[in-house]
Amino acid sequence: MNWLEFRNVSKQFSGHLAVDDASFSAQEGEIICLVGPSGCGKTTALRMIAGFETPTSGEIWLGGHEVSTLPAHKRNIGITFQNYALFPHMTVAANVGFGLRMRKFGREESRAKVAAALAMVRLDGLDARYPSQLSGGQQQRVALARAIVIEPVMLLLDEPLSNLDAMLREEMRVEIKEIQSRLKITTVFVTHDQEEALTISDRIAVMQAGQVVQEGTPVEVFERPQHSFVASFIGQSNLLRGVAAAEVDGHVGMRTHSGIDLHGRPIKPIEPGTPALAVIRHSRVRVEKPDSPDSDGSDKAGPNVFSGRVELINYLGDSVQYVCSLGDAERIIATVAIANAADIALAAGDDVRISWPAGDCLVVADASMPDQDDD
Amino acid sequence: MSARISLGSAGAIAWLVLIYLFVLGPAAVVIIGSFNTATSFPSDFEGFTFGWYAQLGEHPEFLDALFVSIQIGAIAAFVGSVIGIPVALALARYDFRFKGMITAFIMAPLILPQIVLGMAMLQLLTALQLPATFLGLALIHAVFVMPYVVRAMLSCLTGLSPSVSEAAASLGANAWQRFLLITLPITRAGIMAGFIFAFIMSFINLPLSLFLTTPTSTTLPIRMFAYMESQIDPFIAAVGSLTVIAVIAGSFFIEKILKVRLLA
Amino acid sequence: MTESTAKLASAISKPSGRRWRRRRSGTWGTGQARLLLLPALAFLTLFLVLPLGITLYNSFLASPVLAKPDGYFGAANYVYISGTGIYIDIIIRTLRICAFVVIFTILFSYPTAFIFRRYARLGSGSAILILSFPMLAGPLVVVLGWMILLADGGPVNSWLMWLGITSSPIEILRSEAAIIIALVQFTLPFAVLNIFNALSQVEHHLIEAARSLGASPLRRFWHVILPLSLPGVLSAAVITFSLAISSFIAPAYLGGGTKLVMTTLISETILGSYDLAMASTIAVVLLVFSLTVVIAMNSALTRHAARR
Ligand SMILES: Nc1ncnc2c1ncn2[C@@H]1O[C@H](COP(=O)(O)OP(=O)(O)OP(=O)(O)O)[C@@H](O)[C@H]1O
Ligand SMILES: [Mg+2]
Repeated sequence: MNWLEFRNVSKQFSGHLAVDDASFSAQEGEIICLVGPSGCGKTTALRMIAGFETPTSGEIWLGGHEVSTLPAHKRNIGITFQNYALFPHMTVAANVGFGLRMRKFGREESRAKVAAALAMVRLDGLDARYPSQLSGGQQQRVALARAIVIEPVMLLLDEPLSNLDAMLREEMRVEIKEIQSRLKITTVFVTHDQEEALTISDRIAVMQAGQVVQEGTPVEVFERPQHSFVASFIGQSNLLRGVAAAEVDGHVGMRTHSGIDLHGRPIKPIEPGTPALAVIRHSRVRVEKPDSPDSDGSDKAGPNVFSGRVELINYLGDSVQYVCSLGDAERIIATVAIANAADIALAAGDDVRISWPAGDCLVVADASMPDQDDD
Repeated sequence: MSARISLGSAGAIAWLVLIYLFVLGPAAVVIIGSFNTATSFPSDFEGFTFGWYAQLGEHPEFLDALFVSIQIGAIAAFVGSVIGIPVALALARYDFRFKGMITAFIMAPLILPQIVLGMAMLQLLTALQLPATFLGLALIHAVFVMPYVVRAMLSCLTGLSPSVSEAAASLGANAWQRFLLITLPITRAGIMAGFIFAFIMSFINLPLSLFLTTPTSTTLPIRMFAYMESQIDPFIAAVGSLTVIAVIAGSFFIEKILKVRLLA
Repeated sequence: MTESTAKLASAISKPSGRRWRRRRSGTWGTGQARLLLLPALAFLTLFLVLPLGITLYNSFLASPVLAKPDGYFGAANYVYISGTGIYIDIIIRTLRICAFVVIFTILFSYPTAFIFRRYARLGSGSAILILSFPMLAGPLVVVLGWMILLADGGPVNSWLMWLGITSSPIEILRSEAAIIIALVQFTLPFAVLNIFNALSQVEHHLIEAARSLGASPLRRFWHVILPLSLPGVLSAAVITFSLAISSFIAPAYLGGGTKLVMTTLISETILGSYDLAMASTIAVVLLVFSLTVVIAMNSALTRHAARR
């Protein structure tokens, strides 16, 4: 039995479906990420778990109890908000101690618990400050301490890292993961950053337009996307749109709208003639000088080998990104790890050979919306 | 180029000087006139005296009226706050059907002619066969000042994210605890500002009270109005100046100490 | 059962094992919103809607001057008003005064707000607060000031004579001009605030964009600033109009008994002859004029906002 069950939940706001028949679940002690683009309904889903919104339909179960209509203040769930929502008129200590005060803890006991929680988020010594005297990262830590000090049955974190700078984000991510696994507390972590989701979670639920389009472990979601949206949203991929063709020795053929024929690995059987989307991770694309010898002996003129031209080079430090044109209309990005800048073998304007293994090219039925931008 | 800019700003300054003279002039004339030794207007400034302020002691009817106005203002501001604060909470926190219409309805006393409001209250009292009373006066003032309370409170609440109160809910606070421990302390400045502003608006109002006064419940503006019917002199200017000074002190307190922007 | 399950179970069963009530409305809080609004709506219904309803009812009772039979209920007062020259004159005078006040107030307040906006330090500081003192001090003191200033032997007359504009004192008090002057002065701060707020929302980078495209200051004003601030001007006009048509003290003192407007007519009718029926009728007509204009201008505003 799952500890958290979000079963076929919908939420309607005056004619607008913010959450649309969404389901996901988590085992006790797991951390599950809700990931998806802005406005896809993540916060709304979280707010229903917290009890701030009542589902229009569907059920939410926590530890074997249906809680859909239990008022928020009776749920014993810790939550942090996108904007932290600290009490501006209370000190850090009073903020963290608020939940204990509601639970009528004695002064000494609550002081000890507050101190422990502040130590856990490494904020000892700031108890007398007011929220306005704290940095964004510190406020986030106070919010986290305030949520965990009540020993909640579960923790909800709404984009806890999105307002922090890159360095701090990395650091906080590790810390949250540490605290979460130390407390073994079931956690729903909302983010729109797929990389964050992959690194922190035990499970991922990918949301799009109010629906959960795929739920699974990070590996499942990353390597076996069941849906064109998941394929394009998770990971940095090249997307080529076209029409599926017949199967050739275990691989499915596909012709892009720009007229390029390629081979790929179908996730599910796909009917020839239906719209299809080819997904190739940036890191799986190879670009070489056209006359370079084959390193792995693959057929120079075989499937998925094309000639193109380097248009742009983006230096990323430990890797380099070649933005290449392929044919008249397609653009392919290849990311190549480098040890140092001397490894950048190509220059803008070079003609190149572009290739990728058919096994690394996923072909999924294209249920997409035309405005989905590819990068 | 720089010559043109300074020419432009000179014009702007000249314009502002004229506007300020025009807008502030009348009140300034009243304050200056209250120190004039002349016995009636129109008159040149004949000499300086505080005597007219001292005269107030010889006009118990003005002191009585002042007392009535303070009572009415306090009751109206209190009732307006008790009823208006929840309105502001509802408007700031929730979306509901007919929100626009309900808002317009609650703000309506601001645009309805006050003389009509006062007269309508008189008609209600007449229909109920009640004499014009202190209570009727206080009630219509409360109707009139409530929108000011709502506005002051709203201006405080819009800066306060609803998730602050939700955070308290997730920590176990029920609706009352959230109101008393979170919303109320955070919006204290807005509540005080709303109360003071509502008091001022009741205190200076004349048309609301015109038909509802009795010999024992005459407000200060009505008393001044009656006096001005017969004569205009430095004494009434002194009374007017005192109200101006009190009101200015109150509004400065709101803007500079409570830091609530009522006018923006 | 794990530890946290137990905790949750106890949390759920705490309200004496009773299942929590299901909220009737879908969203968390619609019911709460209703509860919060209820006192105000009840209060206003009792002490605003009901009194106005009685006023409307009374306006259909016959005024004593019409000598109708007892128990008459009909539109006689309205017919009488619309057929009597004095009443028509008063209504027209009221609207004429309002029109002049709106025009002059907007003409004076736009440049003032523009200057506040242009010199940002003025707009954010105490300058606007000081300008709005008259609206806090209240119309009574302000009108007292105008009575002193505009009196037959008062300062304004002396200045006019000193400037050689007139050779003998002219009568400014007891004229429509006096009412208009005082009302423009009284409504100006409200209008300046509204237009200033509208101008503040015209984003600086729009103006800068226009400048970078080579628009001259005049064209920038005409094509960018003015159109974008027009809603503010319109809402300033609405406020000015409703303040002017509702004003009582200025017309009562500066117009004298001869230049009646609708508000002073109401007080004359009640305090002079205690004719509640006729006073109610005039009040209803006043409300209709004031609300029609306010609602019409507001819907124009909303339509304008919707187009953007
Ligand atoms: N109270 C509400 N009333 C009406 N619509 C709402 C309400 N709350 C959210 N929505 C709508 O529901 C949709 C989902 O909103 P939600 O806040 O859940 O998105 P999100 O995935 O958290 O986005 P973000 O990443 O930007 O935080 C949005 O289109 C939003 O406009
Ligand atoms: Mg969100």
